[in-house]
Amino acid sequence: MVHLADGVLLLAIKRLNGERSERSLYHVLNGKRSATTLQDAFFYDLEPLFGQFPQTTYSYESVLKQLEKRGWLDRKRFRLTEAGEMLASPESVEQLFNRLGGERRDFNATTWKRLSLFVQTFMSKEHARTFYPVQADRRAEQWVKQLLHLDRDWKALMRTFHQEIEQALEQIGDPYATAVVYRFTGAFETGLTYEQIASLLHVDAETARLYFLAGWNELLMVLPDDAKLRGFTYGLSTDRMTYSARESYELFLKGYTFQQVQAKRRLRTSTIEDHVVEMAMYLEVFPLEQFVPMEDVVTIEELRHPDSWALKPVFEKMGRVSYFQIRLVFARLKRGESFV
Amino acid sequence: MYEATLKRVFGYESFRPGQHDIIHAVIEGQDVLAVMPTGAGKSLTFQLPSYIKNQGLTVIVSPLLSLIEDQMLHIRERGERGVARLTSMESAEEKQDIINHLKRYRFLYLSPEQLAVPYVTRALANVKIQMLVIDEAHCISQWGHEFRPEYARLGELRKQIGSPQCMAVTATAPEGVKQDIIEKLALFSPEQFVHSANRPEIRLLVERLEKEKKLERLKELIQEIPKPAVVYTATRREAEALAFELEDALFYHGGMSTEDRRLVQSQFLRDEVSVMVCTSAFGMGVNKDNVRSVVHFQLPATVEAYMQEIGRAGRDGQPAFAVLLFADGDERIQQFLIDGQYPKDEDMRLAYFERENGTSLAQLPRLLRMNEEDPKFLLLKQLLTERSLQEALDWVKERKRDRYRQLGQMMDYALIRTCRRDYLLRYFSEQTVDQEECCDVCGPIPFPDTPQIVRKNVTEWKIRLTQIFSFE
Repeated sequence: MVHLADGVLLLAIKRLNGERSERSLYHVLNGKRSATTLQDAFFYDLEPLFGQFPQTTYSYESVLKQLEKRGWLDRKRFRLTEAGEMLASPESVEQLFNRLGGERRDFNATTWKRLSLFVQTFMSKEHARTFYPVQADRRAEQWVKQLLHLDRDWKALMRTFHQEIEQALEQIGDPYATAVVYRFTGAFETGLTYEQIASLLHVDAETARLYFLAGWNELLMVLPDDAKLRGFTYGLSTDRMTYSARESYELFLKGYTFQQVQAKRRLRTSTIEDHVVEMAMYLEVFPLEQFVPMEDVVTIEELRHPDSWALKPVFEKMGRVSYFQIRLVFARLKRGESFV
Repeated sequence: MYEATLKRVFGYESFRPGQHDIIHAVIEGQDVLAVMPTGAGKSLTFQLPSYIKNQGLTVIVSPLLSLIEDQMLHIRERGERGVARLTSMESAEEKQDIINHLKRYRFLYLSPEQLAVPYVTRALANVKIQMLVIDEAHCISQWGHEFRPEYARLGELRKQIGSPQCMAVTATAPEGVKQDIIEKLALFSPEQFVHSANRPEIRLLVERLEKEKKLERLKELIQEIPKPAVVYTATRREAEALAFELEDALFYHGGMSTEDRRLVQSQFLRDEVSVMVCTSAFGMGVNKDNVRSVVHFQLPATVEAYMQEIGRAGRDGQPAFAVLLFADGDERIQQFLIDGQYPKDEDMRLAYFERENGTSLAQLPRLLRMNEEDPKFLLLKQLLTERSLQEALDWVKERKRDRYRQLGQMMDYALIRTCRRDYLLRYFSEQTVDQEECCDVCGPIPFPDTPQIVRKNVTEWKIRLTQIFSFE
């Protein structure tokens, strides 16, 4: 049996284009917030997967072994075989891939923890049922506890939440709607495991999990801005920039130079460089010429192979620019800018 | 005598057998060793005295996160706020906050590792501790079936926090283990309470069959036996595979995400699913009264483990069934698992050699290709500090031989042609009992008629959503 979830992983490998290693993908799947991994996710269009497949080295290894054994993956080059390419190519695979929501970092997962725990807690109290919390997350617990202390007409709000979820899911449709709804736990209904949802949807458990992630991500996307449910995202951000990079960015905004930022933050040059790369990747507007002379920008763009984000070939041909500078130019090119 | 408190705090009218005497000994200030089968209400025996004496904190050491969670949930359910826990789940700030305000609490739950953290030990040394409770105390004994190296330091830690009154509780403890607990915890002429290990409501059955027929038989058996039922297997993979084969079954093991584990437990507790297939990770601390059957698809490693696992059936006192499926050669899986729990001879030689040549402990895991969290490595580390190479080799050999011997005793249970209950009771140095519907050797054990499992219809998601949000 070939499952959609296999296709998603294969597509990830395909997108890496043989330019990155097995470890690179491993870190993206686990959502490691290091400069290299953030860049890998950004350049190779793996953002939706970022942190959405938390796994151990051991399980990752066995997944790769499986893919290789089934003749889909060439592990030496970390590229797909022809059969693997076929499985990665259907539109349904790409659609699911792009909806997983990893680019929003912890935003989706935290919102889910809060809402699902709130619904369970509130409904159980309403029906005077003792319950076993589905979420073991202390922060979500604290958050829900504080929320319940607020003096609101919760019953009326619950009805609104219900409507908002239903309307959003109507737009998204099945199988996503089923995957999301059956994860909720009420006073009398316990949510289903991914295995159980899988058997409802006639897919494997991993695909069911991805349907849930995608459905929940879409739900938050299509929810109107004034939806009451938005309250559950309070204080959360979908910002991709790391906290540390943002601190540096704010100093740059105040007019500090690279050296001044570095001195003020007492960080290594390479660290500040990583922060600048994050800015180049994530900001709408970025003053590229401050870091790379315009003529070099143009040359870098011309030297880049259109299908590749490998830095080394450009670096070797240019000679006078640093990897840091090439990264910055690449980041802007990746965002669709052009300087030629 | 303590009934008023029992009623006021716990809402019960009367004590269960044995509870009163233990509570009395605790209140008198004695060290206590209590051996009570799971489900006999042992947590009440160390909680209630706290309300009568009101002389400071009751510290409870427990080996499993799920156990701690479960007990805290029950305490909070009855409205007691003065309970906290220190485990790997709390952030550094949360821990600090708890440590800074120990006076707020009546009960503090922690793992043995947390108790050994120096600033925790120090903080506890500076507050009034009414009693130190060691839950699952058999883990302290290397003769027991669940030895945990981190339990070995508890005696010393007890001294460091001012040698408070101590209570050791466990569900199963043959004589050797009991002596070990008393010695290691330095219990001072403890009052001992040993409940009979016999669970008359549980009928004991063994079916011997060929390996190839086991799965098929299990499928039939699940139709025949009363449910809810728990099926025990030896490995995670097998748990998943069996759950897939059986009707209305879910699997449960330590490798699942927290959210999924909780969903499974909750469904089982609420009778939304009737069969749970699991490894031994399931059960410790799960309070479900109406489990009607426990089936073992694989042989457990020891008789104690078996008793503990079948003990999850029939806690409501109603008839229940324990069925062991045994095929020749099944013991090999356990042998394999036992071997995997101890460092190999060549690894030990290498480790000792490297240490003598100045390699640091921190470098060893990489050299040995072991995970530093691996219990095997933790054991090796302990051996390195306490014993010479030869002693360590002998110790491991001795331990393995002992574990094999215990496995042999479990096999005997499956193979004997005399009363199985009698065998189990003699194992725990108890007198034989006579009872109707005892075991498959004493006479036929009929299963009561059980309704067939009806697959619930899948409801459309909108209806399900409405049910979840319904105030009706």
